[in-house]
Amino acid sequence: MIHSGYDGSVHLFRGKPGGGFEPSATPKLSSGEDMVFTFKLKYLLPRDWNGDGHMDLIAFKSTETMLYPGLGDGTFGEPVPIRSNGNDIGFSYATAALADWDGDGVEDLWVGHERGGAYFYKGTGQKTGDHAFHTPVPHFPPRTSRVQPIPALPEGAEPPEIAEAYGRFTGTRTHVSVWDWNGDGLLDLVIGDMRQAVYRPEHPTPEATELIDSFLNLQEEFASSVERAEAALSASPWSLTQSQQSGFSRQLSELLAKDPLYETRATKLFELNHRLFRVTQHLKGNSYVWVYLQKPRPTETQP
Amino acid sequence: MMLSPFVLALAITAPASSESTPYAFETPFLIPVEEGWAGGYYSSPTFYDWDGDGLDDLFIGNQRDTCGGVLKIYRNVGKPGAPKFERLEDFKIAGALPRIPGG
Repeated sequence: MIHSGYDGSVHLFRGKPGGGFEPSATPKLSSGEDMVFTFKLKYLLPRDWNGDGHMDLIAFKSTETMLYPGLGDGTFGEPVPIRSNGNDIGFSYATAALADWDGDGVEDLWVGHERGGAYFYKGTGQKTGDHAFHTPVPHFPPRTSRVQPIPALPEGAEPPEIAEAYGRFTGTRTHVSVWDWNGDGLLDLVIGDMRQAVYRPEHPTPEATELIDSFLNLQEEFASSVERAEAALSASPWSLTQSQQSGFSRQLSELLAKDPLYETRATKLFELNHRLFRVTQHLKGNSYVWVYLQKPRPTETQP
Repeated sequence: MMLSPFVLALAITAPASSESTPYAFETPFLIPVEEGWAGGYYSSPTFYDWDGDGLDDLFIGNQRDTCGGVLKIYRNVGKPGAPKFERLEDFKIAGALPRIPGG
């Protein structure tokens, strides 16, 4: 079993004969160095990707995806890029799944997104290099852009409403897995997410009311200002490819920097976020795992 | 656990949009488990036949706190095409939760 840590560490748990696992070890590169990634390595997929009979590691990073070819002696060789139509594949705070989704004999790729939803990369069969995958298609775009307010949480009650706070769609930071859930021969998507909600207590104090109202008003102002800036750039980051996203982020930052209230709002919003989450606990976060069953595909009509 | 300003910024700037998709999906549903719904905090699911009974079991990685993650294991006690999950003990090494930074 292999795990990638949030801090870029890699943890290999070797199975023991008869069951159980050895303590965590760090995989080695052929140079003898430890396999350690920079911050925000998000996901590792063990797979004989290059078909040489040795287990490789595919490392999905925030800025790129690389193949670390297994050498068969427990070490890994020099990384090779895996790209999509000439662009890097890189999403932080997300996971990826490989599967022959469309049944053409070539493995395809699903990648989650820190904003929510998932990207589908159709495989080309080239495995590595600039054209390992086609240009991605975004699916399940986020349906809301705000932390959701939920009224009247009874004292001491667990908040079941948070599951529905964003509706029956994935929230942010989606972690994608592919599995045939219902055994119909079609692969389905199983997606973990993250969602946050602000709860009003049943009998709020004036301080709590003011704090929650301030947060909701400020997040509305902040989100609206960002959306106005995005509209001014005539683009939605959700629908951009990775190469476009980096340029878009820079342009957006430059535009927002011209807004005299942007920094003040962002700083104040972070303070309120901290108070609501850590001090008063009116802001809660939770993750759920959603099952998206693939509908039967239309059969081709015979002439 | 603390929400970073980065997380907050992402959450509130996520754009609403609609895209056509080459494949169609049913309205998604949550996975029922004994404690309510499968999940946790920054949930990352995957499947593997852990107990070798021919049915894939469900694994969900979660952030536990600011410096550690946890791997929940759910045994599939259903039937092929009709999975049902029952939680086992979280993944441990020598009786202790491994310290893997989650997120």
